[in-house]
Amino acid sequence: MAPTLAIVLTVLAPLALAAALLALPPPWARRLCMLGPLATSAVGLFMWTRLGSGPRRALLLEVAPQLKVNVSVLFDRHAVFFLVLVGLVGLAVFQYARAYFGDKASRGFWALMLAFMAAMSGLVVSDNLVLLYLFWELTTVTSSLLIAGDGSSSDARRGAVQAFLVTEVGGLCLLAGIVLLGQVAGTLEISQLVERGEDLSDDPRIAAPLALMLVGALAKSAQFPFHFWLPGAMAAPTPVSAYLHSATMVQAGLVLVARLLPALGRSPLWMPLLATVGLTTFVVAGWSALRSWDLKRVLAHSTAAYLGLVTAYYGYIGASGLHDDLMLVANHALYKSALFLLVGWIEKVTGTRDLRTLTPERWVQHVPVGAALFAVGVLAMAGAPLLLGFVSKETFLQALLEEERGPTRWIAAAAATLGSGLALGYALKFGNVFFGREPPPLDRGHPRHEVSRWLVVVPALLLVPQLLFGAAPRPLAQALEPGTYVPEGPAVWHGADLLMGLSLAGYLLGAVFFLAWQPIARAGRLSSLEDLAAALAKRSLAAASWASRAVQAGGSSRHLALVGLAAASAAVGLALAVAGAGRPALFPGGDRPLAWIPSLLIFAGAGGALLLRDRASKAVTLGMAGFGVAVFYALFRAPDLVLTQVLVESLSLVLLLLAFRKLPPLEPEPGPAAAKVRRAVVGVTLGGLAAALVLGASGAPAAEPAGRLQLARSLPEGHGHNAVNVILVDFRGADTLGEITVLVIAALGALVLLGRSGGAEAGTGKPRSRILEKVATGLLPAELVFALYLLARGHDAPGGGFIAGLVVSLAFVLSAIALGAVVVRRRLHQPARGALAAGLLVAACAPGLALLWGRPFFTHLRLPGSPVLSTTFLFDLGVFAVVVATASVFVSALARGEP
Amino acid sequence: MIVLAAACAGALVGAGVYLLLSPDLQRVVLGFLLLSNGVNLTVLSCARPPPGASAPIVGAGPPPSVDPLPQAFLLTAIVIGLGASAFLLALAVRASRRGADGEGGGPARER
Repeated sequence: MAPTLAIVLTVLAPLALAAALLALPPPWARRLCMLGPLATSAVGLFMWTRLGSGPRRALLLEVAPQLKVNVSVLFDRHAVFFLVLVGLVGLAVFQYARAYFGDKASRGFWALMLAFMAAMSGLVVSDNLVLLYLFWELTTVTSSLLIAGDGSSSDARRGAVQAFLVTEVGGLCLLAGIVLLGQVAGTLEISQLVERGEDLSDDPRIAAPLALMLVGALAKSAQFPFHFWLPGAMAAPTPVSAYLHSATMVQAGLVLVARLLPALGRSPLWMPLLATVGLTTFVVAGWSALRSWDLKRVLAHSTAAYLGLVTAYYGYIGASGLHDDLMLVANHALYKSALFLLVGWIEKVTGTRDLRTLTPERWVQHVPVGAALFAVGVLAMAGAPLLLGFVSKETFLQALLEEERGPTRWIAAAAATLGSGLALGYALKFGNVFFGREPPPLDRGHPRHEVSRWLVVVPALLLVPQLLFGAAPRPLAQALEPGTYVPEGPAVWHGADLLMGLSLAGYLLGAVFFLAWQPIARAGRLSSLEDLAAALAKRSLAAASWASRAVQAGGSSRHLALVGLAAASAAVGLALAVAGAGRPALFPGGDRPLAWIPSLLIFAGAGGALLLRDRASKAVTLGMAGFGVAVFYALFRAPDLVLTQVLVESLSLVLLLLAFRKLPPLEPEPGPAAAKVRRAVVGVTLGGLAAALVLGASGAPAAEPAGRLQLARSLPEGHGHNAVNVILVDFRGADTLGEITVLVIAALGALVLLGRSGGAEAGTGKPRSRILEKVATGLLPAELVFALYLLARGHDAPGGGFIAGLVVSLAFVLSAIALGAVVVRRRLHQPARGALAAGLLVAACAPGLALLWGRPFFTHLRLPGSPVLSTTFLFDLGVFAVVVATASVFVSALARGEP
Repeated sequence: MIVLAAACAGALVGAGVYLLLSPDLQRVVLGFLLLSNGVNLTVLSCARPPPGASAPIVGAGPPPSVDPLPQAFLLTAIVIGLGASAFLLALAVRASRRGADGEGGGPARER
């Protein structure tokens, strides 16, 4: 399978599906959402079978080669493994969630889950680190939204904010690290970094980027000192926790570590940092798990603890290269998500997940199957023999004993033993929930909740590998990483060596912890990091609201003044820089007395707009200033701009007059005199700066005009004489596409504001003047033909889509005046909305036609032998349609309800 | 000419900003129109056409031609300015309608 197809199926298709779900009725969303994880698992498994031919890298899109940013993917063993994990656990969790929520989950929930899954898939297969960062942030955002749920619970909101802040701080560190790494290494492609592994690890400059990136990874994986956000995120619904907080999102940090390991694992920073942080988390989070009463919080702490173990393992194998880590990851993802799902089931059955309520009650004979499954998961968590969890723990201890040297060896071994003991302790406490003495509420006459069978079946499926491979881990280890050494049998007994001793010591400690956990949990609190984080989250929100109060309060004039002053200070800097570049030559080209004409128009226009009382007069003087500007454009040799400016001024004058008829009369300017003075000061400052900018620029040494190249390439490459039009439709066509999109959005906004409510159709639509009517309707065909002529010739002479569109708009406005707005509105309204969409569609598709021939977007195709027919023309046609439709929408919206 | 252009740009920007800062929405729209003209004029004046240059149309006049790039930018800027001010007008009409109907302006009253 081509990497492109794989990306389409695992990233783009789920994202598209997520968007589509929002538009479908909720039952459909519930059914269709399964397609996402199905596609991801299928693609992942298929790619897994093709791994034999080596890793496959694909450069899908060169975004900014000079910044080393590309859309490139790498399908190697690790990427495909995590892809399969995301897909399969996704499949399980989605199915579970369907049963768990019934029809209570909203479309938004399914869409978010799909978007999160797509982001995760993209993250694990990214080759370019910037691409990886983008997906990284997408998981941060979607997961915070999933934690927040519908926002009705304050706990959930707090958890979401905390998770977002912590992972976001980490994300920013990661970004800084990536940027620095790009400077040092000269590439951001993981595959190329791996090829250059040797020389990078020895480079002393690698320390800062490496440390920053690892901070990002550790924050994401809830490692010390960031371990507190994960329990806070437990306010999320159980399926979300099972997916995000056991199998996928928290493992994103490990994905990054595994990706970096071949390139940077030999760096002197690697092992000490990861081993210290990992082991600290293993102990600290284990202790917190032992002290928690809420089953989900226990699981959250234990997740952080186990991820600490994997982190430390990655630290130890840094020098020798990747091996066996996938087994550790798979083990955790499977049993932990199963346990999360089982806790969801317990909560449904018993109505609580608080150990204080649960522990005394005797549930075991009511739910034997669930209890048995629970026991398997709990034993895996404890690392009991004959299960995969045991193999993982042994693998880790072995790596620790091999790599640690000197005095730290014993500290690390002690920490690992303590951590394993804690794991056994909280696992036993966890498994004890079914075995109390008191009868459960069932026997006291409370009816049992109806619970779907899937709530047990799904975790059962997830736990199968524990039993299957716990006894014989070799097939799994060989499948995950061929050539790795794992003992044949369960290897419970491998001689009375140090490993055995550590394991036994761990079990002993675990028994003690289990017996003593209730007093430990009731003892005073030690950890205050969580409080600190909560305070931090609260403070940051307070700071944000202070900042918005300071900047945003006080109405639009205050905002604008602030923006203006900020712009002014930027402009002062710019003007100083320009002035410093050369002494202004004040009178270049002073041979144009013609310039007095537009200047007088502009001065009079600006003054009139300020001073005149009547708003219609204001509008007319405004138009005067606009025509003055058009004359300046003519003096500056810009024929296209002259045409555009004249047409736009006429059109905006009409729109102003139309709107004035529906607005209350203009009052004398409100507000105290002091406010007016302040506004005048801001106005004079900014006006003076604009003038200074022009003068300064005129004195600056002539730089190479940016557009000279475009001018030279206009005819040979753009096949047009009019360089302005060639730039608009060809060289910078994507800009134009964006700009007409803005127009469409503005038109849609006007439709929403004025199109729907109020303003009943009134009036008879009788024309006011017979002569005007005849002229307007008689001229319309001629005007349309003229516009088409402008459109067709625009590539070679002044004209083009914008100008032709404005001509047609003016023709429609003329008819509106002649026939009455109602008639025009009746005829224009529907077609205008259609043209709005059609125009944008044509403009977006025309430059895309080249893709069918394997050429880049915006490579224009021409019909040979025809002077006009080409995708350039099609694109311009789209622009034309959008301009006409936008203007028509505005005219008909503003004229609504007029006689 | 450039001094006059600078003075005009300054006048348009200054008057535009003054009106834009007004609390009255109709004046804001007028100010926006003035300001966009002023900024457009500023940009084009800064592009410094060489004396005696011809329009940026290949073969239409003797070289040198003026720089076509600022013109392309401005062309779309002018049209977008129209779109934005028309949207502002729609907003002003909507705001005044709500005020006139005595709806109190709460979004809760929206359909």
